[in-house]
Amino acid sequence: MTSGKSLEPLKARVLKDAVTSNLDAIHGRLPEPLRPVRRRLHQWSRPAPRLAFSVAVVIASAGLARWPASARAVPDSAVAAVPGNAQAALNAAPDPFLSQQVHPNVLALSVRRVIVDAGHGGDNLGTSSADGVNEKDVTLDIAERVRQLIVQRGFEAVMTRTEDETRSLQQRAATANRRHGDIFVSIHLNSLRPSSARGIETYYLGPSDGPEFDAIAAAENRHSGYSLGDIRSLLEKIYTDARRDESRRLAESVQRALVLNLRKTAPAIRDRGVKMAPFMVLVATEMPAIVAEVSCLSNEDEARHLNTAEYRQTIAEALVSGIQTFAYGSRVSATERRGTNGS
Amino acid sequence: MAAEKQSGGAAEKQPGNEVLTVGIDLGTSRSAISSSNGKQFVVDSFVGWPADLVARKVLQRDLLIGREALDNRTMLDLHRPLERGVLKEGSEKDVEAARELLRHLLSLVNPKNSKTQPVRAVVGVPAAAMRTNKQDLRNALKGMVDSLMIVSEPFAVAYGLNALLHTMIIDIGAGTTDFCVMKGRYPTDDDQRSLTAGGDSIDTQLMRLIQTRYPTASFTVFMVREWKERYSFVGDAPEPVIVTVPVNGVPTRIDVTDEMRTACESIVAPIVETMLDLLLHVEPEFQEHVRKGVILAGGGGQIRNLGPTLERALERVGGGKVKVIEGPVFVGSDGGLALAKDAQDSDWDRLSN
Repeated sequence: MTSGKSLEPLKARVLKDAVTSNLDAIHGRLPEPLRPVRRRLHQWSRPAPRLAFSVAVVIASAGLARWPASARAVPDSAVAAVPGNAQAALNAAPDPFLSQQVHPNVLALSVRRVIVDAGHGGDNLGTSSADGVNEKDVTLDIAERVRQLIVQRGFEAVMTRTEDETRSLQQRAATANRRHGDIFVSIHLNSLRPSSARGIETYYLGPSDGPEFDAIAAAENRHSGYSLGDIRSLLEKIYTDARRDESRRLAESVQRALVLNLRKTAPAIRDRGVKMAPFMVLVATEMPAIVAEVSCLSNEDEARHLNTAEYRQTIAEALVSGIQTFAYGSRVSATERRGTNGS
Repeated sequence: MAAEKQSGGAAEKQPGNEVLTVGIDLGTSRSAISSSNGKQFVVDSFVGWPADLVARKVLQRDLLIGREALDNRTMLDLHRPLERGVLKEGSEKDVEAARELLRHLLSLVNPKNSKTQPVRAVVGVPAAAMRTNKQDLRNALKGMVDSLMIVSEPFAVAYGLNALLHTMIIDIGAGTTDFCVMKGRYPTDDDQRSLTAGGDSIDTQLMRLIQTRYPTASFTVFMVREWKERYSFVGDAPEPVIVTVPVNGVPTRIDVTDEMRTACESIVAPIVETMLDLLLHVEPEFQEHVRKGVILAGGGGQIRNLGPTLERALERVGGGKVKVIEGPVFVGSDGGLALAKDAQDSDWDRLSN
């Protein structure tokens, strides 16, 4: 490979770097982020990628500023800074292996077993509507409907609770992990201020997009059974996990299905989008996982809809349809695969 | 496969204070150690504790490691410490398993003076483990050796092969496939990628495919793994793959050629995509060098016809060369040993545990 005189100084240099990197770890220092100074940026002939790179770095550093130093990792957004022409090259000449069709069943990522988590339960009522309907009862009803639909469509379903019982988030995650679920779908209802606020939103794990989502996460995490220290260390370990990318895809597909289907019944419903937040139950599960806030109990109109079995069935069908889209879309395209590279 | 290989060159010069220097490849499936006293060993990365009192009575042991653990798995609480390339979160047993594995490897090369002789170790771990929990790994291995350096496995491979400049190491392991572009410096996160496709994902798919075609045949993932290690290929089949399995209790020969191909080829697309993507991130004037310096390491690198298949994929970006490492078992640990020997005493002092 490398030979001659140039090898020894090269070896000395990488060895020195390796030692430094280890010393950084010992002393809890961050490795120099990307070591951009040493990159030969000036030699990048095309301006576009350079711009994209810097923008990505800026976005990334802004987004991560809230995070403890040790939790920082190279964000996906840095990876996304692929030169446009390079992307075109990838798409232009399809490799025979990239285009071959594989049945979802043989894909490692395919979905067979869905863990259905009915939010709250038992002593943990969740949120309540003005006329006293509790979140825990509605989520259980929807979860049971989801379970039936999932089984009908050839998947397996595992419920984290089947009756009105108190289960910690830790127990729920343990069930999901023990039963080796392929995906985890947690069903919740939102409570928003003011009461005129409404809409559907779906979360996957990540640093929260804003303080208002922190509040929602804090409410859902209240009965987690984990300490703050646990949360911190779990997050640090999970943050760069490839799961996050799959979770985001699942969240997007479920959110889309929910909005499309529920608008038929409740046209005024608001699409609050796919969001990231540090929900405990998402941290502790070992599979792609989402929290779907399928409706808003604090809103009078939505609460009224939720009182009808028909609407709850529509929600269940939308959830399952989103899950299915995700399951059959598991063949990862070139663009999406890049995200799962985990760097 | 608790294989052992005593290499000939035992006449390594030992430092005056008789420090034992070792390179260790802590892998998801197998772990290897190369020692400055010339010894080399490889063990399956399985650690098992007797599941209950009965198992302990039967096994007469408190701990089983490697092949032995695998063979007695029904009686064990079995752990693979670096499954999927990382130390699993919050699992003390996995941390303990990693420690036991390391302890076992060290005892193999240094059975007599393991208590007294100072040990300096370079441990290569999957790139994913480096990124997510370097600190945990260090803590987990604390106190096992006198001085410890942890590096990413593909880097150790590159160092051992003197392939430090304009090369790309593709290390196809069991839990992960690690990519690393060597640019004449210690690889940053930017130079590396890790896929969760690897030997294990091939096993899973092979298992499902055979189950689908022969629903009555009974076999385990461990049998499937052995078939894969013997017969894996992509592209044209070098020979029909015929294996013997019990069908309704009767040993029966079944043809799994197509299943073998499909399962092995399942990792090709992600590997090609990642390889091309990493290439795009190489400075333009060096891309050709890197394309011609692709090195296929790890057990998965032994899949027949995989090298030429990757070369075909490189053709559309200007062509390249893929070198398959023969006998890849000790490449990583030898690389670690080379690093360990080259490191200065002052470095080791600072890296003491």
